[in-house]
Amino acid sequence: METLSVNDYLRRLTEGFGNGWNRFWYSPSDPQPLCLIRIITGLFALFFVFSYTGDLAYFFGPGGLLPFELTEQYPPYNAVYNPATLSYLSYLESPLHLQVAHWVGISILCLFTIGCFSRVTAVLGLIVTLSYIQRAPLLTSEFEPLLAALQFYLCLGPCGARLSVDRYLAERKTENNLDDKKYFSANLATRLIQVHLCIIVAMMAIAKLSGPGEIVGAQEWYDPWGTGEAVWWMISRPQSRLFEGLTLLREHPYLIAGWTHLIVLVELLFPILVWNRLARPLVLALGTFIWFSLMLISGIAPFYALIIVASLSFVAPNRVASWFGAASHSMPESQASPA
Amino acid sequence: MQTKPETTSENSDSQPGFPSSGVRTLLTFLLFFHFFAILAGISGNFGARSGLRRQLRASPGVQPYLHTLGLDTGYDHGLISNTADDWDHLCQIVVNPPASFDPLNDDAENFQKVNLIPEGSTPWGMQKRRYLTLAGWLAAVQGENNEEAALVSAIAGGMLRKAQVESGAHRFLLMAQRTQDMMSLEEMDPALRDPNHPDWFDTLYNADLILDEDRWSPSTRGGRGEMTQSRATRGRDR
Repeated sequence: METLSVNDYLRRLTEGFGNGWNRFWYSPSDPQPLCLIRIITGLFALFFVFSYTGDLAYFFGPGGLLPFELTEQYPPYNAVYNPATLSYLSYLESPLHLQVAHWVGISILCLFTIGCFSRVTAVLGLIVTLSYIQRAPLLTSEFEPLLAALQFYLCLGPCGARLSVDRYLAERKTENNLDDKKYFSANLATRLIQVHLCIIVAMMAIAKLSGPGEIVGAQEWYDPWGTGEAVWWMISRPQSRLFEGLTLLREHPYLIAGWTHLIVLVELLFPILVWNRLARPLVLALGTFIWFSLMLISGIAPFYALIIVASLSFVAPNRVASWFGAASHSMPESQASPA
Repeated sequence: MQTKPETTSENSDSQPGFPSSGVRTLLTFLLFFHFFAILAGISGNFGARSGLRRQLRASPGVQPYLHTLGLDTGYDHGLISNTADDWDHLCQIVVNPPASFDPLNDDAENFQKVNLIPEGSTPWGMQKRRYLTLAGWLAAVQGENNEEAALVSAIAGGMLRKAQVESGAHRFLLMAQRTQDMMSLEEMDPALRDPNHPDWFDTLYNADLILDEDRWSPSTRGGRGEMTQSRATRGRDR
């Protein structure tokens, strides 16, 4: 066995870490998964903005539910500055102006989704989404920060390089198929989505394990996740569940307990095991299963759907290409896979 | 550390498609800043009272960065935590009730009612969630007089304007729809199994709405202690 001096060890350590860091963040990769995420995220952004259509004047118009002054009173915006000032919706009051801006925003998001002028529409689409989030902090749920994060990361990579109008136009211009070029920025954006997703899932798992926030007086301490009843508590919220029929599950407490504990277990393991090549397909399948199940009962179905979309960043580019019938790329799957 | 020593001496600059060393340095700095800001955002999940969160967020540029990109969140989505946040909150205005109207005991069926959640909205879309979130905010600021009054005034004003009610004296109610215990459901009166049975609703906030110049001002009735539970003391009171 080779004997290393302390200096050699430290040199190899720093070199190894540096090279590993560079490979992780800056290796060129195929942008296919990023482009697939662009399409689905764009649809979700459209869904988000379009859902304001009927309520636009009711929320933001003159005498509406949320006058601009309210945004200055509520956290998290009672900080160094009020982000609502960055929203173009803050400067529009007339219902006509709001509608015009709204439909321009929807048009931009349509272009972003189909991959038309992607580099520009990705940034403009992010501005559109953020304008709605920042103008109405009192209306935001878990979904909006994740949507904003995904759109931000898509701005950083070549999200219109495949599966896009941009690609179609470029191919028509050259009258043959373009090379499937690899980009380091595609890898960077994909990695950012992966790491951010792992942080979110880890935080969700920790929040579930933390139990009740406050125990006051002589109240009985009760932890819905620890006792295995959390799924029932979600199902029993009448305004949030998607199907009334789910209440029949009260006859099956063991199923409820198993479902509850599986959610916590998968959310705990996901951020760790998803980086293991062998465990990744299983963890992704389990994650998709539990997040789909949470879509049905949590009342925040779009958030969990978007989590599943973000999980696509862990699918190897040649796998995504095969879904679209494209020829497998030159990179073998072991290299193409994200970790 | 002994494995594959040859890979440690790879020079990324020589590999095709890699960014140059200068670009990598800049990007690495930005990555550190980005994840430091994300860490500051989630640090509230780990002992907000330690001051760590405040100090991390006070770092130059962190807060504006998080706010501008809409990333200022802890992602602590426990979903169910045995607090009042678990319940669905609903806002309702009873139009022109008599002064003696008591939402706990009187039947409001005979009065015109304006609900915050529009008829026909379903939990499948974003719309209903938005209204539930807004009502949840009202429950959250309950007891903080200035914020509560400002929010109730804005919400009530919008609701009445939409319903084209321009005058009168009305009653603003914030109700919590409690969840049903799985075990006690088995022994429960079948009528109570309906989650919309009045017994499942707590009236958390009950205020008269009086038109003051051009805005509706709330005046809390009955004393907060009598008709409401504070957020801190509400819990699993079954």
